[in-house]
Amino acid sequence: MTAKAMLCRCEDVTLDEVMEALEAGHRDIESVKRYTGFGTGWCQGKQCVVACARILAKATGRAPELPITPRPPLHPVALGVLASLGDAEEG
Amino acid sequence: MAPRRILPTDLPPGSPLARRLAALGSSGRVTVEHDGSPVAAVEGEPLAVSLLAAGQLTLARSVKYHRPRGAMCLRGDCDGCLVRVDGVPNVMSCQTPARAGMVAQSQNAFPTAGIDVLRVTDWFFPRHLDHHHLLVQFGGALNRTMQVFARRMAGLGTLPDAIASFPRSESLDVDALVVGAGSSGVACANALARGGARVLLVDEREGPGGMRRDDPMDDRAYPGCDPAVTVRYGAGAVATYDDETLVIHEGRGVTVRARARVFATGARESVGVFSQSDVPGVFTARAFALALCHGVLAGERVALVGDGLFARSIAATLGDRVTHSPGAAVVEALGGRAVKGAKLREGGREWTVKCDALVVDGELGAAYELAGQAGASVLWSDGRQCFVPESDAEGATSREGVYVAGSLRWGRIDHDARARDGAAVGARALRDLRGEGR
Repeated sequence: MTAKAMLCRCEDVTLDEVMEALEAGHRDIESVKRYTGFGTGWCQGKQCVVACARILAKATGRAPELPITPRPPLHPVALGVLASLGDAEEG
Repeated sequence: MAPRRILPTDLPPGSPLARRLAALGSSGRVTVEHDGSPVAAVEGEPLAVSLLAAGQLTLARSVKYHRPRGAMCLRGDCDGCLVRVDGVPNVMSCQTPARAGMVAQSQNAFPTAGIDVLRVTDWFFPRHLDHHHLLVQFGGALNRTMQVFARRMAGLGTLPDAIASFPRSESLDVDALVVGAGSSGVACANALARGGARVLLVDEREGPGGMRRDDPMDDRAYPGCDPAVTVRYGAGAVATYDDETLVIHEGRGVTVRARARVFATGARESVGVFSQSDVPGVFTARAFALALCHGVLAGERVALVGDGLFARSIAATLGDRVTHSPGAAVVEALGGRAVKGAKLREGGREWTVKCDALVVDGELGAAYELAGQAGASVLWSDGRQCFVPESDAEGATSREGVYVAGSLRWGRIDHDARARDGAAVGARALRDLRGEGR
């Protein structure tokens, strides 16, 4: 394997790519996400959003105020489960 | 040497972990299958832990570079332990209790996760492959060819073997929903129930205790739930909307309507960012400790870095079997298919250790996502260096009826402090439910 520092292991986004995004002028976490795709994989940022925010804080002198928007679901959910929500048994 | 199971007699007499393992006993031995080979497991333990105990470090390949992937957090917070189970792809094996006859297959690899020819992608792009831009800058036929190539090479598992049927969903109406049955969640649910509220307490794990379940130095009994609390374990909250929360309980969707929602979802561990941090055999300290609490030593030669609660408990449990560098930082993990060593740094000094498990008690984040979805304002905390839901002295957030408690709110505080916080937040939520004002 080649030596890579994975910032986002779900989407294989390296620290290098994030630094490149910064050099390209992306200074806020939402733009860095859109540019590199970090935080868009299986874990939806549970592992990498904080790491990226810390890197931004170091590089720009200011941490992002807000995280990327945490959207449902927290974990991937089978579509069949969502489809079955219509006909619930009342408890 | 590979990971292996340990016995209470392998540990110093009187060690809390020895007592915990003795209490587990030797019941529930079952066999599961992984890539055609039988694997000895203990019924109900996380499948990822069974696979780890059998020395199966590499379970899949990463989506783009086909780098080896293995269990890393064991908490459902990473992509490491995804396997195909009984014909269903992308199952988080750390969240799946082992059952007799389960068939697990590694995924996203050709021909196997151990020897994957597609790993050449990793060598072709030694710095990185900027697929977001590379694949869109060519027009017409070339672009279509690139897309086909990318689809073949990348992605997660393949479609399920069969069309599954899903059980009917359920809908519950309660006064208060508490998410997380750790020290603060249980104390909070008890406070609410004792005040007469109808309370539902859910936790994705198989029992109460939260982080205490994973601490090998903690063998005290967990505080009980008041009988008036409705408790569901193996029930993970996955989404919150305006007034509804979706919980998945044993594969079934449960829609919960609650006037008060308390999130006691805790903190989240990560190893941090360093070169090769994704190599199988690199674990968070909590993951390594969790496996230990199931009697599984995830490596024979353990390099332990960091000074958090789990690192200290691992060091206290295993003594000189681990090389503990509390103040060091990891520069690089060494090894290809599995970790072979680590380059560490402390105070200007750099050195290399050999190991087959690199255990890092690194950066903590707050598990803020559900509270954020529910409408609580989540802001960066300079003190904790992570995003945290804003809350007042009693855990009320910016959103009416949404509260936070315990480690989510405070970071790593001790058990008694978490329980006190949970009780205080429960009392506040109760007052609000009764309309007694703030």
